[in-house]
Amino acid sequence: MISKIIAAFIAVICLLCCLASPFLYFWGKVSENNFKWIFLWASALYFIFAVLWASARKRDSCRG
Amino acid sequence: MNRHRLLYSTPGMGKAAIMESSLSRIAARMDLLNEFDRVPVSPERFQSGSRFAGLFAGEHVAATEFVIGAFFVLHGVNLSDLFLGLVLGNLLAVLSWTFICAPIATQTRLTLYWYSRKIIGPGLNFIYNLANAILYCVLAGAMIAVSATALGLAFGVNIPSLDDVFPSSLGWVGLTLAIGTIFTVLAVLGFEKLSRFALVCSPWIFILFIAGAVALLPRLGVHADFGNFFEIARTKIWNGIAAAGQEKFGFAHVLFFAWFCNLAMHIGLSDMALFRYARRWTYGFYSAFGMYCGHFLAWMCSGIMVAAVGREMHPGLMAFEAAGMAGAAGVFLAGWTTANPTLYRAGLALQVITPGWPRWKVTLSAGLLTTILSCFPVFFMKLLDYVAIYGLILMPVGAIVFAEHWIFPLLKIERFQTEKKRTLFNGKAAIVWAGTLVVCFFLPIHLFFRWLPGYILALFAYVLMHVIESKRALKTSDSKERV
Repeated sequence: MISKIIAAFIAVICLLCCLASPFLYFWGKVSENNFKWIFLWASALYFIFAVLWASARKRDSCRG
Repeated sequence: MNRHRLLYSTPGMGKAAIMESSLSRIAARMDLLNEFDRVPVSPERFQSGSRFAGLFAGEHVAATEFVIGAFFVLHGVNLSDLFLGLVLGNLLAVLSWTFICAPIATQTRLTLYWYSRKIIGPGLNFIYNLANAILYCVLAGAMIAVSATALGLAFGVNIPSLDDVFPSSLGWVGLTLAIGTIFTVLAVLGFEKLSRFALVCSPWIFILFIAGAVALLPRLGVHADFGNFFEIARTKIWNGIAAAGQEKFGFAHVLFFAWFCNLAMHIGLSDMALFRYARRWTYGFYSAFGMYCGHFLAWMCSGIMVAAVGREMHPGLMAFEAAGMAGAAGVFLAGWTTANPTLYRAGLALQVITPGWPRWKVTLSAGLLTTILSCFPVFFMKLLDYVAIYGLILMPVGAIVFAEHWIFPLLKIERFQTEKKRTLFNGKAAIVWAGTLVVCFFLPIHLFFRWLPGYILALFAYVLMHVIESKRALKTSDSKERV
């Protein structure tokens, strides 16, 4: 249960990072290169934790 | 088929009788495949509104959005036409789901398959399914082509140009064949796991659209305070100048496209399969999440991206320039996750003509057909026209079902005559369907606008044929009584 909440929380944070990074680049806070790296890493982490979250949800629903 | 024919036919049977018995068997197989959905959905299986919102938002942010939004720019749509056209067109689509599809679904609690079977008959239902399967394969092929544009960057493959009908290079053929084969094999190995993965992908793909557009705004000259955004949008993005060889689109084109983009689903009633789980018909309004996230925001974002890469129809390049490796991977994933359910649906529809085949074999066959089709850039480069034709072909069945559900009771015409008479074909429905398509083909108006007069024609023709028949039947019974 706790791991599901943690995975969901990290996945959402990563998704927010993906959304925020192009705006930071647009406003000149980060360089284009850095924006692309942030987006890539946040995306990779999002997929890892979102898949973990989805798997935990699936397990919970199977248990009933 | 021949073996079956030998088994079922008797020496005295004529050609028509043999054909009818073959169709009966096919219809019986189709019924067996859809057996699970035969019973109306019970109240304990109804779904919440949030599920519908999520489902629509996920389904309508797909790989094809990268192409459609970009095409509006290439077709020279100006900013005000695009904005108004998308707002109103998507509103009409939402209203179509809410007032046409959802009420019939929540009253019957059946899929279109079972409901139309009562109306058009199992024989015609088979033809509908077959047409749907082929159209799904073409759509999945376009999605594979979108993914190929992303992977093509890594291998330096030339992407076909806007006017290409046939593959322009061996590299493109090899790439689409390879991607199509991979997608097919993965769909065969684990459709359900992929579907769950697609659920994870969809919010990220939506973010990718926004990120891609925002990241490319500085390249177009938009200032950090967004002060000159509308000026740039009017002059550099949706500037009203069509690309060479592309037809100029205006407000009406955008409005109609946004409306009919999912014609088969709302007015064509395919989404009865979805809304039969809705608590109320008003759940149709949840389709707005798909329309305004996917068919408004995502289309506008892809328009910005294509303008920033020099108006080149290359979804892979657009996303790569915007967000680097993650962007290209996003286009590939978007193609994959949206081609997967489309392949599954095509396989399901094709299963009716391949009795006894296991699920994997049918999906493999659908995948092979899709992979071959994906080599032809015409389906990807003429996606807007294809979407129009797709909706147009299936729309008359929606009109026939609508007429029988709503108009027949008002005119006191007996409903479900085909089912009651146990006939294989509803002859009137077949004439209306074919006739509507013939009329639409010859209508001297733009392809995008043909479905609306076609729909009205199908509705009136079907009702009129039944009114004439019921009056004739009344006259005959009157004269018999007099005698």
